[in-house]
Amino acid sequence: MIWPPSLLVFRVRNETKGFQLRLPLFLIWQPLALVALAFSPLVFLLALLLWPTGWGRTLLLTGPWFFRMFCALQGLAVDVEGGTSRIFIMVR
Amino acid sequence: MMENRRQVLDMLAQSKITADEAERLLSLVDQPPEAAAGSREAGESGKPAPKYLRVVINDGGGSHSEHVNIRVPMGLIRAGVKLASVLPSNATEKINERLKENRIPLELEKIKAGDLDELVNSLSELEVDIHDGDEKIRIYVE
Repeated sequence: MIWPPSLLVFRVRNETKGFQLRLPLFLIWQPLALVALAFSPLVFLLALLLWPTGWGRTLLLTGPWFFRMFCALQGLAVDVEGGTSRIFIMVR
Repeated sequence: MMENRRQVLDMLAQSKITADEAERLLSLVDQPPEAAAGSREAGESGKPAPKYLRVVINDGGGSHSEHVNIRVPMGLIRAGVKLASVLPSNATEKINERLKENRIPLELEKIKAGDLDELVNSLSELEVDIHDGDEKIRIYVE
C-alpha cells in the first residue's frame, strides 16, 4: 500500500535569521482527494475529446502519476550548508 | 506450501542440495508471502534492496565550508522514469530527437520499469568516493 507523505519540514537559516516550517501534509490529503474527485468528470471529458490527438491518455494518466510522485517523495532529504547559511528540506 | 516443503525434502533426499541449503529454502517456504517478497527484493547477495541514493559533498573545513547532503528515495527515481510511459508518442519522438541532437544515446520508450529495478538493484554495490584536498564527494546507495 502506497501512502502519501505526512509531514514536510523546511528550515532556512542565515547569519541573523532563522525560519522553520513544519507542514502537516496529512491535513491536505482529504481536501486534495475531494478536489480530484470534483474535477474527475471534467478530466474524463477532456481526455475523451483529446483522445485522437494522443494527449487524452496522457491527461488520464497524469493524475495517478502525480500521486505516485507525491508518495515517492517520502524520505527525501536535502541539507545544504554554506558558511553561515543553511537550507534543510525533509519529507516524511 | 506443503508441496514446496516436500519438493525441498525430496531434493535433500536425492542429495541435490545440502542440509544448509535445505534449511534456508525451508525457512523461505515457511515465511508469510510478504516476508518472502522482501527476501526476493534483498537479492542474491542477501543485502536489502537499496532505498535511497545519497550524495554527500563536503567542501573543506573552516567557517566558509560548504556541505551538501541529499537523500533521494529510489521510488522517486522509478516514478520519474515512468513519466515516459505517460507521454504521448509524438512528444516522446520529439524528446528523442532532441536527445539525439545533443548526442545522448537514449530512447525514452525503451526505458522500462523492470530494467530500472534491475539497475537499481545492481546499484547496491555502488560507491563513489572522491577526495581532493579538503573536498570530499561521496555518492552511494543505502
